[in-house]
Amino acid sequence: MTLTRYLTASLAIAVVASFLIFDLIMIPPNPYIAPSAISLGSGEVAVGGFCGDLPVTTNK
Amino acid sequence: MIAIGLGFGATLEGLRFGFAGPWRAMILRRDPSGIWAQLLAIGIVALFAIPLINNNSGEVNAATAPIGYAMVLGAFVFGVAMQIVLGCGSGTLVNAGSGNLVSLVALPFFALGSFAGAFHLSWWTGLGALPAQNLSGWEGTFATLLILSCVAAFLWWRAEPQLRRLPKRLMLAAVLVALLALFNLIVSGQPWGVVYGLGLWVAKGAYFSGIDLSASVFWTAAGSLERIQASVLTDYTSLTNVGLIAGAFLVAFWRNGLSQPLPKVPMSGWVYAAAAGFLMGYAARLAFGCNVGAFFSGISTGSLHGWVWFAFAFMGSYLGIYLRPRLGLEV
Repeated sequence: MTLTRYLTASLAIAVVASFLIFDLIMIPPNPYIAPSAISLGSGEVAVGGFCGDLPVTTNK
Repeated sequence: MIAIGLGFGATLEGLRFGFAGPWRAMILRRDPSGIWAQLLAIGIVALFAIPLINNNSGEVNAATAPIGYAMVLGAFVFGVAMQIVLGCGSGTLVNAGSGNLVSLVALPFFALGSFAGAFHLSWWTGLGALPAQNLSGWEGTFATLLILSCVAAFLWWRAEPQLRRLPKRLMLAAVLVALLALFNLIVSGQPWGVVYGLGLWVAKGAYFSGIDLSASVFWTAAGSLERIQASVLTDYTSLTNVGLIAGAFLVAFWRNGLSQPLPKVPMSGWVYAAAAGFLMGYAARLAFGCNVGAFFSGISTGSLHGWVWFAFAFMGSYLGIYLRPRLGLEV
């Protein structure tokens, strides 16, 4: 039997879905503390994590 | 944000817009079309993003990061590794979603590397760095577009004469990617990124497994802890990453691209793919981003570290292209 990309692509989706389900079980999302739907014009400071983040503030 | 990620995944997979492949095409065949498409997309984003950030500071942020020894080393190593697995930050996700086995093997190690790189980040940044510098305002926009044009002209000069063209497919892809990147900035307040989210996924796994993260300045910082303890559905980078994989899967499924047989790669090849995936993740954190967070988003939001990243990752790509066939990954 020849293995095809169906197997690997399905595996990728399954792993991501499993992670999301695990996270949803561990930390149920709370819509009442969600950020604004659109940051621009919200008046809120964007505080999401980003690749350029520096480890400056610690609570150790 | 998942819808934006789906758009990225569908565009990158459907219109074959990538980063590692076009760099390889320029180096090996002197075909500049893919990099021109990247520069076009970056230019479109810069035209709107830099003034937007200037006028709405706080609500929307640039991909600002300092230029330092670790950043330069990270960019070079990322360039090497991305040519070994032939998939960059976004490319590894897209390729995994469309069933590429090498990328699927590399992806978990990419995430582990991102976690580990962030874990050690404070030590690396302690080696020395310049203060973060940004090109801002209309002057910054003009300077960015001017430099992009100079790079495009340089590539035109270096290109094979018969390959000096930008196909409509890539032009369309560049416009779509630029629009999606602008939506990403407007909705989330931060530029498009990839590698942070992957490291966060591993950090969450470590945290809930009871692994002690107290030795890491990064993962014990207030913001990081808050995100580890919050639902992944509140992390923008994670959401677009999920969308990228799912979007690529849907396009590959729709055009029947999943029926291709899997390649036969020697065992050593898998080991090298895993190692390169780990290095890619680790290096991307030292470099403050991958081809998306540092190169695409860095340059398009005015951060000078994006340009330095581009130069050193491109140099690293030469070494990666040399190594790939020697590691048994060209089948």
